[in-house]
Amino acid sequence: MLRRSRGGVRISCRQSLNLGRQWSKSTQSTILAIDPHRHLYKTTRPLEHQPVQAAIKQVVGGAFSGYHPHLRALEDLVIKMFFKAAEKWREQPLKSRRANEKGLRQYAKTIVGVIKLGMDDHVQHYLKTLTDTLFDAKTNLCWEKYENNCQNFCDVLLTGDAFAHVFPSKDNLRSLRIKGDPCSDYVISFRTDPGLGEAVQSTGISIGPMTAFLKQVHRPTNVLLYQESQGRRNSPETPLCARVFAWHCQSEDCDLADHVWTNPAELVSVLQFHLLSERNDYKAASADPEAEESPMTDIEWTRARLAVLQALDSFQTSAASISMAFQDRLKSEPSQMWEPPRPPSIPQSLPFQYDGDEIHMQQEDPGSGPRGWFPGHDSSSNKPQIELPAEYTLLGERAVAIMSTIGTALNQEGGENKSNSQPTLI
Amino acid sequence: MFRLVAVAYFYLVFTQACEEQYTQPRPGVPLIHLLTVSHSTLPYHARAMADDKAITWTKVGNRAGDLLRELTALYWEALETEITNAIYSLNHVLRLRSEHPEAEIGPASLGQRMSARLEAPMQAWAPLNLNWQDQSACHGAAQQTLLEMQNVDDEYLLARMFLSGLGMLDIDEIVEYREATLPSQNGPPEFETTIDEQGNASIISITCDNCDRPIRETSWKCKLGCEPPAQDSGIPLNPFRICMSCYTAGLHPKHHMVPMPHRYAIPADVQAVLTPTEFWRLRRGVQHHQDDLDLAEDRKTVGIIWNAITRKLSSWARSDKRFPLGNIHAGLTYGPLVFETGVSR
Repeated sequence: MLRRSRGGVRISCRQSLNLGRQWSKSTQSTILAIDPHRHLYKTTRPLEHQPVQAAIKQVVGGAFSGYHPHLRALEDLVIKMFFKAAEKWREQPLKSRRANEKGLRQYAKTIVGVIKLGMDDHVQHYLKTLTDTLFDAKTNLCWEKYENNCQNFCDVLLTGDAFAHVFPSKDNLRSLRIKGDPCSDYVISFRTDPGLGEAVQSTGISIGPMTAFLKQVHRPTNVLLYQESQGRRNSPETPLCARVFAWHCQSEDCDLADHVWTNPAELVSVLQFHLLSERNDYKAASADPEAEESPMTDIEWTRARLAVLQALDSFQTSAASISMAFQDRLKSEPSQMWEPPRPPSIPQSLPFQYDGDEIHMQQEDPGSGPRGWFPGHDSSSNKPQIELPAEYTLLGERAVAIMSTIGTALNQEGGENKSNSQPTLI
Repeated sequence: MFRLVAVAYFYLVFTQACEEQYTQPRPGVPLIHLLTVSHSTLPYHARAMADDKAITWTKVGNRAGDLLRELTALYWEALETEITNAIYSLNHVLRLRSEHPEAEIGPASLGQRMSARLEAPMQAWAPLNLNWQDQSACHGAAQQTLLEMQNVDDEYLLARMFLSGLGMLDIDEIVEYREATLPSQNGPPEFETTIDEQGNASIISITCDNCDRPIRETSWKCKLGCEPPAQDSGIPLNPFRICMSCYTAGLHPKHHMVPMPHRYAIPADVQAVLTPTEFWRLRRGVQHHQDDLDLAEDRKTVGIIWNAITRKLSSWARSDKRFPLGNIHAGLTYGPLVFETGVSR
């Protein structure tokens, strides 16, 4: 049962993003709680955030990506105001920390005031969608371990057609509306199908770092540490993009802008995770393997953060450009059918392969199979358990799949009927 | 009547024990312990209320409009804090740029900010039924729009990067770690298989040189050739290899250690000399050894009865869509707000 939630849902401020520096990690936080009878309560308490293992990007809203034409002028203004504030503010060493913070907060308040003027109806619309779901009689707000746990709750909040397609549905495209009513207009959705946790249907394409980490056995690390333990990051020879995305490059001329498109949902999620990580979680790359681990210098850390932010900005503007190009096309031919695809199961949305990228299949670790109630009772299946050679799997990892499907795939001679024998991943 | 009460009591405590499965490991519970009434054995809702009684709650309302009003206020309040930090961060970047111009702190060049790989996603995600010429025209239009967005000066771009990094309108699912209930849930134990000259296969469990427990998933090797404590000094036979727990606990200097990826129990060179029948027999043998090792370690940690219950529930839960991501806590964020339910620890 969630503490400070009156037995139901808790709504609070998320862990502050680490964009390089943090003046204050919010300590006293307003917390809202909705009990199972849908009574709303409020309190102000310190809130401790637990270590984050991973972040899974669901929907890219597109603020400051140029996607929302009615917000462009406002975004321009806010960007300039924001830069001016950052340029003008100076920490006064003779003044107290509180006094310095007051200056920062004043700038922030002014900027938020301007943002609110333009984005309030957009934000309200999203919040209304969430509110309607929470107050829907069919939504169970009472936490139950097996029927309505935290993971199920996250699914329920996003169930419905609002985010069920890679691009918004035609009704939700604000650019096509004559009246500028609020709607669920977003840049891109990686929202999985409501059956989160159903077997991931392999489409013959690479699994990314997030799937490899989350869908295998329980790990006491986070996604970046895990990738590091598999030797995928932090060597000076590793290109910057491979270090940021914790995933190998697909071509020699790869860079931050290109790399994210090899597996968009997965790698944007990794970027979001970076922003939730602390500086202490990173260490300087060193050419000398004998050298002691050392934290990053200020300049190294700043460069690393800017790389993450730049990758995110590149992705958002690219995705916005793609969507806008299609929408402009639709405007010129309104009779066209608009059918954006539904993303497949978690956590990816049609990653893209390049020539030479082998199909990577994974298999379930036999040690985690169902067991008998009492020792000596072996209820495991008698089907052969297939272990693929190391070079056949993702960089030597243990994999997750249903055996019979892979067995069928491997037993096919010459790879015939590959489409019928796609391994099913769990 | 007494029997009814006793059954009801044990049922309550047992249900409570099951509900705590994903909150803390529960050592073997002797019968006498079950008879002790303590705070932790109270039903969940009673304990939650007891915790919540220490907090002063203000009732705000019970309508959707009340929630929307409060959410809106909370959203902007939280965003103000995040923009405060963003201003501070950009201020720091600008200061570093002026103090260290040789460090070249700033965005990359225009070419490196524009992806040349938009064609593939546009084809895969195409919502319109276009012929290849029109599709190509759309791609050109997208590239042009992207160029307009990226062809801005560095200062504007830096500010935009920070603001878009806040994800004001983004929705994410955040996964928090929860401790595994059973040791076997930390990953499969590692084995090594060797074939001798007579063709007999041996399966050896790889254990931590420090705590002697089976190595699961990630292990760490000493690159400087330190010897395990139990071995005599002299020529080291094996470099020191420890498990993730001992590495995290700092039982050997971390700067000595390099991570070792998980190794398959039956490597390719062993598999090459086996017939398919021998391979499957060996594979099942490895599986049985893994199962036995998991069982032994789990039972030692949590006791026989609790182990049987938890392992059955865990394996069922992980294969069921009710716990798609296993033993973790998940929350949904919209901009600076997080919506969650369930255990917070």
